[in-house]
This record gives sequence, structure tokens and C-alpha cells, in this order.
Amino acid sequence: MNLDPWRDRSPMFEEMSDEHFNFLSSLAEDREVPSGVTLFRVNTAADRFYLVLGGTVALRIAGPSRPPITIQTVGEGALLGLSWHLPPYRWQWTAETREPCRLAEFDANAVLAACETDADFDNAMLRVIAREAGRRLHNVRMQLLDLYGRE
Amino acid sequence: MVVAPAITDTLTEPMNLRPFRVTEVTQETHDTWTLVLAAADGGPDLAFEPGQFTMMYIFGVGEVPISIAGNPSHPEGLVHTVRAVGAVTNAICALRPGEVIGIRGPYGSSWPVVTATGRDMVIVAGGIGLAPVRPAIYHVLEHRDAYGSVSIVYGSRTPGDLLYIDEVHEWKARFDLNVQITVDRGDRTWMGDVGVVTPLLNRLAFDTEHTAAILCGPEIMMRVVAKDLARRGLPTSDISVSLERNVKCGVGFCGHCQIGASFICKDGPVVPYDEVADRLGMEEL
Repeated sequence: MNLDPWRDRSPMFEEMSDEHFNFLSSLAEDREVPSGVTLFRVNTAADRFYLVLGGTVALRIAGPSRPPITIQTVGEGALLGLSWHLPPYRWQWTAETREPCRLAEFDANAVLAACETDADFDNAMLRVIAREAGRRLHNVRMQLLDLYGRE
Repeated sequence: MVVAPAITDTLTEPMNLRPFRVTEVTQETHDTWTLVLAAADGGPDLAFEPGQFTMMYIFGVGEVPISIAGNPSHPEGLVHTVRAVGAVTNAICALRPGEVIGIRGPYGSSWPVVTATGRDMVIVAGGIGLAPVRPAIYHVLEHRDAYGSVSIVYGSRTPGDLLYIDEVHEWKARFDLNVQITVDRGDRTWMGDVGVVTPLLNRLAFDTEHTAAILCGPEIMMRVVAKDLARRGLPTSDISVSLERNVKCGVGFCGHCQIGASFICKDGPVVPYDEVADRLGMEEL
């Protein structure tokens, strides 16, 4: 899939070499997904991940006697899915499209297989995961501050 | 005989109160009200620039600085949106039409909406911070053809805390505005974004060499957004922030609102981010 328009628009590809970007692009599949579709469900096998090219995806978790809670929404340019890279390789959240979405879907097993044979690519993907995890940690800390509450 | 020199108007006028009568009260959220006031002394309307504030005085209770939230083209109704958080603001929010309060001002610097003509506009507001940027939004919308792309990003605590909700929906429905809204915590009816405002900046299209950004909200939010915009290539001199400190006199006499070498009431509240970036985040400043 041609992801060239996203080379500079998505933080996912920050600092990534052209070689690794092109290889990752070759593993991507273009998907159009209607609103209300569950992309993955909590506790199931995490065997893929996405780059959101358009639309919004909600990350949700369900609890007893209450409707599912949306903890975060993920939009254009964002990496969706980290659990595929870390044991136990199962989703921690349920992801559902909030509106019609365009996604680049990556086969996580193919990416992991490439990581096994190419240390540089493995390192590049680790950086992708670490940066995204860092961004999310920062954002969650900001949410915990309850900045808009009474100061 | 020695005659004492008269105290000049320059010294006295800024501290003079004018009586204003409440003409309209609207409850925006569970703790926030919008008041419309009209001059009760037969004097002129209070002309103001977007971003300026007044000192609102409740007789016998006290005085607080509140940003003007109305349309600068229609100063006949002085509009203030106030969150009830203390003795004075609780008293303001309890006002009803017909009651009279004291007003001083307007004071302070303004959003650079005139110098931004011809540029793209990025407006980011958080919480009650939408009120001080609303006059700038009115100005931009009334002169829409004079600007390039216009984006508004608004973050709130919950869906129930969103201000001016009908107006925000009208802005969102316009094809010439990119409006992005997010809340820290959604509810079962909320189908919009959940999370902080910074990821929404990725959805904005603007020319980093010809853009003016105005930010208003909690200071931590403004710092994070400013850094993110700078990382995307926007010069920090093109980013304006509205600062809040303990304003008392409103005219640079008392020093209560001093932040470094600046007085928020006189040099601010709107300041270029690059002039204060090194002072924001400093403990006890």
C-alpha cells in the first residue's frame, strides 16, 4: 500500500529510515470500515495493528452493570494497537469505529517475523512502540490532572 | 497660596467603577453562568478588544477580573461568562436580571486578530478558556474572508461542561471552519472524541509560515499545546497565550499579578508565547 502521503503526517514514521518505511508500507492493506465496527476485542489475540488514515476509533472497556466506557479516541495519523508487540499478545482494550474509517492494516505476524531476522528493523519498530507508549502515558497523565476542573 | 495639583484623570479614571445592570442570565453548565450587562449610568457602551477583561465588583463582597466573552462588534451588551469557584464568583453567578454591579475596565492586551489578517488561524481553548477566545472567534467569523484556514480545538472535562454548546454546534456545522472537540471523560451519550487536545492538532491543516495560534485554558495545557505546535514548525512568536494571575488593581499599580518582569493586567493577559515561555512552569512564579 502506498503510505507516502503519510510519511510526514503521522508520528508513527518519525525517524524511520526510507528502507524500513517502504518495507512497512509493503505489508499494509488499505481498509474502509463503516461506523460501529469492532476492530478488535479485549482479551483476544493481538495479531494486527493499524494506522488511522481517516475517521475516529474509540478504545473501550466494559464493566459490570454499566455501559462500556470510552477511555480514549484515536484519530487521523495515529497508531492503533500496541499489544501485538508485547506478551501476552492479547488486546487490552476493545476498539470500535466511531465513524466511517480508512485504515492501513498491518499483519503483526509478518512484522514480527521480519523483526526476528532484521535487528535494525526490530529496533525501528521498538522505537515506534516506545514513542507511542510515551505519548499515551503523557496524555493519560494530563487527563489525570483534571486540568479543566476547579483550580 | 499654594494650590495642590489636581489628581489627573489618568490616575483616577482607571479605578472608577461604573454601574452596570444585569439584563440577562444564562446557566451554561452546573457551575458556570453567562451574564449580559448594560451600562446603568447613561454613559457609553464598553468598547473592547477581543481578549480584554474587566474588574467585576460585587458591592460588599469583592472584585474579580473576568474576561469579556461577547462580540466586540456589539458592545451594547457586556457579556461575561463566570464559573462559581469562590465568594465573589459565587455572588456573581447568583445575580439576577435587574441587579446592579460595578465594572472597571476594559483592561489588558488583546488577541492579535488584526495582525493575523491573511493568515491561517489555530484557536485552542480548554474548559472555561473558551470564554476569553470567543470574542476573537466572533471577529474572525465576521471577517471570515480575511483569513485562510480557521481551526478551533476545544477541550473540556465532560460533555456536560462544554460551554456555549448550541453555538459550538453551529461552528462545527460550518464548512469554512475545522472544529475539533474532545472531553477528558465521556458518558454513554457522548459520541465525540475522548482524550487531551494535543492529538487533535494532527487533524488541523495550516501553513506553519503563515499562521497565528491563540491558546487559552489551563496554563499546563497551553504549554503542552504550544510545544506541540512549535514541534510542527510554528514559530513560538506566532503563538499567543492568555495568562491568569491574581489581578487586583487591573492597571499595573499593585504588582499582585506580576510574573517575572511583566504585569498580567497591563502587559497581558494576552502575550506572545516566546516572551513568557521560560517563565511558565517555574515553581512559585
